[in-house]
Amino acid sequence: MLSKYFKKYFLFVLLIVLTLFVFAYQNLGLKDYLTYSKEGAYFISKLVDFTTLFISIIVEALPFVILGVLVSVLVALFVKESFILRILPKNRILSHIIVSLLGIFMPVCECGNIPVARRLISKGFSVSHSITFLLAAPILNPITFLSTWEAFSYDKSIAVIRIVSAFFIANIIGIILSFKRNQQELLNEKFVHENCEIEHDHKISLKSALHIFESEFSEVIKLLCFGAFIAALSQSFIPREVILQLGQNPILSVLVMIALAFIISICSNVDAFFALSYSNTFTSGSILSFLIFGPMIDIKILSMMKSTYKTKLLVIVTSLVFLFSLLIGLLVNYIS
Amino acid sequence: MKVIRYLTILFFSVFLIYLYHTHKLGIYIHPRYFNFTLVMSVIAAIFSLLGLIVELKNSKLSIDLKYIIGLVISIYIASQVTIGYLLVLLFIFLNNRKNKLFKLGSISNLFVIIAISVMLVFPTKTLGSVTFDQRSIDLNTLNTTNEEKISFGIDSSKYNISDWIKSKSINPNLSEYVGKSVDVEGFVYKMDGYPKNTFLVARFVVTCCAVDARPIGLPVESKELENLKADDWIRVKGKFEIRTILDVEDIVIVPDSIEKVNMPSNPYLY
Repeated sequence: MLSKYFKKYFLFVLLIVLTLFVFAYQNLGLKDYLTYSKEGAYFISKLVDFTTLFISIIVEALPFVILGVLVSVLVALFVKESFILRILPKNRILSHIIVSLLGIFMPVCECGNIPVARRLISKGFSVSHSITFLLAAPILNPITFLSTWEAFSYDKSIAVIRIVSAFFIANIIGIILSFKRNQQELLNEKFVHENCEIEHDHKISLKSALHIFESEFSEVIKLLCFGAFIAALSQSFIPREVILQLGQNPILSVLVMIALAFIISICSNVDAFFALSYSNTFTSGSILSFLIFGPMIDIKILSMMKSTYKTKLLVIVTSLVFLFSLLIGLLVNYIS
Repeated sequence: MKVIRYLTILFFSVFLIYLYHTHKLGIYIHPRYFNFTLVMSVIAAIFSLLGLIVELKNSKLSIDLKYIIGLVISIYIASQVTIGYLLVLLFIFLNNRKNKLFKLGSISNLFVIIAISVMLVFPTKTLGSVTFDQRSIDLNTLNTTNEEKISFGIDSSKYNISDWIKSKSINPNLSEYVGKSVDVEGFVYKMDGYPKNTFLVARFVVTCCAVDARPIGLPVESKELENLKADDWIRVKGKFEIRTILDVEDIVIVPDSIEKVNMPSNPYLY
């Protein structure tokens, strides 16, 4: 009862608060405080930098989201359910391996893959297949491999370990999940409901294409904005110094780089160049964990995955990916 | 409701096209994404326009005339007195049930609304000193790929800040830099604990988008510091000298001239 009430009036209350703020700003001296005092000016520049980060995440992800939505429209209209069931082998392991290689044909960032995964689920993918696809595609694709190869040209093993471990992690997690009997239970109810609506009329027409485009886009953009907000917030208010002072410790450095990958939410196609700049100060195991964990899980993607999957599933997947990347980072640090 | 959704898509794509057109995309993302962004946002704009046309044709959208008049009047009053915005809100709120147009709905839309208002209200600005503070620990640790090392020219007169720092990481022999002439652009960053009259001329290096911007900078020793504010864009011409800063020997620009310049259209280095 209360939550319903809260939901209904939340925005209204928020707007009132904003209006009061505008009033205080113009009429009660808040403007002078913010313009002329030192703390005020600091707060304002912090706020402006926050907005730059916030918009930057959205601007960077949007083209990929649009591309992903376009592909998902094509899948929805032209791929028949029977087709996918026919080409996917019945064998549990083999089918996941094939799905994990799909990224070769879809070399875009992780955020573009989500609309595609949503559509593939309605075309006969099980949840475990879609998770394997989402985890593998950002790393197992030519662009990511080439950029990692180029960035770490002094140590080619990084690119190789990255791609091999992503392959194994994505498949192992997918295969574990495939043992769950009723896969539908792992899906968000809202998604299941909308899916029925879209699948109901799959005539190939402009109208249904527009409908799918609009509903996919709106669903993903909501969570993209939310994810971008949280990511930008944590970037502007958690000082990076706190995170980065621990670079040489073989265990802590791995944890720190995973944490950094989680909050920074950058595109998998180029994150190798970003990681490169830490290779002087950080252990190579931690760099690898960053490169493996980042494309699979971060604030932005988790928020977007929420549109499709139950929270329980996301917690399981996140912890598994975390444990695997931790393991690889530690192995590299202690063996080499 | 669908109309609003199409309008939202249209807004986002037009925003991207606007950024491209006004050369402001560079504030947010790396240039390699520019054309891709333009193509994708034009496609999204076309889709959303088509959708809008289809929707408006089919719908029996009837808006109460009284409602529109009431809204216009209350917006007029609001524009006269600040607190009058409350009146507009109250008006929209009271009429919400009848006219679903302004149904703001669930909390999940909140962040889309925030994003749109941020895009409308806030000036497009590059990252500045505040973010530099927050990230300054990874200062001056640019690494180079092998290809870059080979392609490094001998002519250092056109080096920017990032080139100098890369070249320092390849060849850390400071004495070789003394007397070389420098001509770089960047913003003023006042570093804590630096000796008097010493500051950094700084830039951010970007690989993907503003999110991963890393600060770099070269120290400058000049009495002009008094006339400069943090985040001012300057062009520094001068020569390198060796000084001890924070107990470490480093090369410092001793400028012949410092002039204030406008922010370049590509504020970041790549």
